[in-house]
Amino acid sequence: MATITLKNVTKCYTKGVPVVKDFNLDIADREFVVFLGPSGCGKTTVLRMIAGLEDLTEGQIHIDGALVNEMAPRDRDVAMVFQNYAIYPHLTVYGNLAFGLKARKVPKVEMDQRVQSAAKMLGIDRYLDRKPRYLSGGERQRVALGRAIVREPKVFLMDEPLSNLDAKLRVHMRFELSQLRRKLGITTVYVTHDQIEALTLGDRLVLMNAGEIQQVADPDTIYNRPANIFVASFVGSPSMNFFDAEVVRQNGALGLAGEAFGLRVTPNIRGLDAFVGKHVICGFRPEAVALVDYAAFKNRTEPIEGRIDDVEPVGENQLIYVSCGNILFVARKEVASGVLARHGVVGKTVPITFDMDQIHLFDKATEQAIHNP
Amino acid sequence: MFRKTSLAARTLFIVILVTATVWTAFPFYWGIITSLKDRENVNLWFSVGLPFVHYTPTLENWIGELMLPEMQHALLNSITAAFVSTVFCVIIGSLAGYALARFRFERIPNKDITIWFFSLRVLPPVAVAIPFFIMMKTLGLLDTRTALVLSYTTFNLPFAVIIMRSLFLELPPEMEEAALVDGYTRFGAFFRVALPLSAPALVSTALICLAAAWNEFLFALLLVSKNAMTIPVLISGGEHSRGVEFWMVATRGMLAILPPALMALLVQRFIVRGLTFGAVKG
Repeated sequence: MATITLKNVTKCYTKGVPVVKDFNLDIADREFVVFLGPSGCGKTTVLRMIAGLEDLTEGQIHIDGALVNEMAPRDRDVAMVFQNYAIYPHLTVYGNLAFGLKARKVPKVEMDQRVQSAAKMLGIDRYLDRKPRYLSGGERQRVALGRAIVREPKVFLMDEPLSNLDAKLRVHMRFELSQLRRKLGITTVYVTHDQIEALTLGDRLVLMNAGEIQQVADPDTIYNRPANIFVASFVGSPSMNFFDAEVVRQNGALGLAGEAFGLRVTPNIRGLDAFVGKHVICGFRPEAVALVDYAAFKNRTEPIEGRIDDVEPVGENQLIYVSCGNILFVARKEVASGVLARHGVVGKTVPITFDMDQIHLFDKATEQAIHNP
Repeated sequence: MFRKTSLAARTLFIVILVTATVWTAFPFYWGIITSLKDRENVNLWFSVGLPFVHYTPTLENWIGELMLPEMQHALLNSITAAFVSTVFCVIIGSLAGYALARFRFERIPNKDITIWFFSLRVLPPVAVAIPFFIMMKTLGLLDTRTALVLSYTTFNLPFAVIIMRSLFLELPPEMEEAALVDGYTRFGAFFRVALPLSAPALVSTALICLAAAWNEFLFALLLVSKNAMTIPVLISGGEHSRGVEFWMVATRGMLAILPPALMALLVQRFIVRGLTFGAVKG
């Protein structure tokens, strides 16, 4: 059980070109923290620095209060699960699980007991004498997890452990991981670029882009109250709808004047006074955009005209692509409220509306959030 | 594949194959049959007469050669020099190759070091032959097996380094990193993970170094005379005042082939795996 503290952590491979910039984070004991971000955002680098596989250019990392900057990976008492499993092909499953215990000179009886119990927990106890090449992807992934579990480390570090699995298996392993973390309660840092994994597994999410933290918050806050445009656009599928608008004052009331249309701002949005005459970015999630005929919003905007470009069925929802001028909006509509037949509506001009209670506003200059619902 | 090809194409194909086979196998055939002939039968049937048909084969040459003290000595010298230099090459080569594949050297970039090793390999050995001779003379090592081991190691090491480096580059570093996190030192990770996984390629490298050392002629000719004479030098000296004694040269040639051929047979399953290592991702 351990806490992890990262203070001003910076990493440069080439002098003056940081891939991780001034990274600060406190991870509580037993917490499950997910680093989320696009490829190349530096999330794996931070994980590898915690493991001791990369040196820090600047800053400090503490595990359980102890400074570990100069500590070899083997002395940090962390266990890591790699993206490509990194299980040893020349050892059996048993050999793989026992590998770390042998290094730590764990007595044979105890080693055997721990290997057996971890194997049982992961359902790989039948394969203990097999070589990894005779195992399926999911089983290999379990071996990799098992190798981390038997160690009973202070910290688990997981680098996109599910990304090599097919979609169905990934969902299953995600569920198993979630069960496992509840059972073991070990501090975990988990790296992924899959937002569903991040939102379902993490106690807290660290959203990263270009080596910098964008937002640290629980999954609910990340989704509903994104700190900036990057977070708002990265989390959520389909992505949030954005459009540029100028804040204007008309007859004492505030309005948003877009290129193709304008919206009246309801009084519940505060802090917008300071932006009169300036440009902001408005954001609506697909569920906050609707065809007027189907809109059930309490505080809807005046309708604007748009042309339906496409309709995509996705299970219980339909995604409706509507273009207004040169802005493309995606609206999510529940099938339960009636099915739109693609061939009947594509190309038609329809009025759409937005849910003003769910508007996100961002400062165009700084890209930081001004207002979240 | 034959079904769709014409008779002419098939014939051409067979002719090419047969020619190639005869071309490569003939020296061995000649060597074997000549080593089984005595003095009188050597030139019989344009020297390609068949044993038991055209003459009665004899093991006289083989027994004679093997009993010859200078032959025994040369065999021992060749075996010692080749094996010891190979062991050095494999040990130093795998460590250096690993370092080049895994660590980033700051002063001189890894690529430059590798190219330097490679340049040693393509350098004509004769260019350094005289300086090497002077060095060995100064060190008092002329005509010793140590001189052979030193020169063979020097010239085969770059080869071992280059092969081992490319091999380790193909091994995913995560496996060693997993070992580091699991509680091993860098050396532990190298010996317990990287080295076992590269065993097939290591065997191939060893065989190539062994063959190069076994066949080496120039330095052996230059650095040793009597005490440390090797097989290739001995064979080349097989010309007597009576002319070339083909039966003797053939026997010595076959004797020279035997040890590396036996080694290759012994480890052949490793060779194929080693040479195709990394061709298909596991």
